Amino acid sequence: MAEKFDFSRNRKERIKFISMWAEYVKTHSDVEWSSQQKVLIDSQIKNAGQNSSKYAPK
Amino acid sequence: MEFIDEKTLKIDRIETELDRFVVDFARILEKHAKYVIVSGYVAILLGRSRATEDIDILIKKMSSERFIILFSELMENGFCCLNADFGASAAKYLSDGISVRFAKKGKIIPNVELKFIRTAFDEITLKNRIRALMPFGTIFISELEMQIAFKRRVLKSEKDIEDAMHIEMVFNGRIDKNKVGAYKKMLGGCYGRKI
Repeated sequence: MAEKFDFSRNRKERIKFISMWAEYVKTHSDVEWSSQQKVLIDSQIKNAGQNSSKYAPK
Repeated sequence: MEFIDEKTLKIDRIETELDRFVVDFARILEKHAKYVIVSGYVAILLGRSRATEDIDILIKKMSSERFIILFSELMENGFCCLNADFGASAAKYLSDGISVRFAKKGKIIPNVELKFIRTAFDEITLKNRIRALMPFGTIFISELEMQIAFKRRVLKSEKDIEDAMHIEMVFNGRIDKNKVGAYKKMLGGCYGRKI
């Protein structure tokens, strides 16, 4: 039988992470936190751009 | 990040491709209209650990003729409109309350979702905008209290609530909770209705 997904536990874990990251942002330089954020953002844009030229208006 | 005055937030962040896209767009937009960036990108700018595909920008209503000039300048500078081929049709969309999306030519993501202000709350959002000063450019974003109120009172999705929480935690002690409460109240009343 499939295990039931625990939404409440998942939510608590997410909030814990948000709190941990917010604390990191508060206690570290902008360069430190934003260089980590940059990896996430730039990779999303890079992945999205791989096929978009086929669909984007010319 | 630190407020260097009431209306200016200095962020020494490393530039992302998303930031570059937004700053490029804003540099053209500001020559034509007063604008304010709202919602997800603001949370990201303030450190939230997520990405986004669109950047919501509100501008003051303008005539079709003026908008066509802005549209042309965007086209000349490597942008394309994703849901209208001509400036006149994009202007019509905006005046009908439909947003118009712009991306870099040949791309779909990221894109700017441009809207005319439609409610009294939008008007206040534009009026109370703050400046985000970064090493690679300056843009105008909505006031933090406004951002929190809108995400908690109107948008309410899990992602939006988490954005609001992030801003509250990072700016703990600086957020005016009474102001957030007042904005939430406004959003529930006539200020949230279309003008």
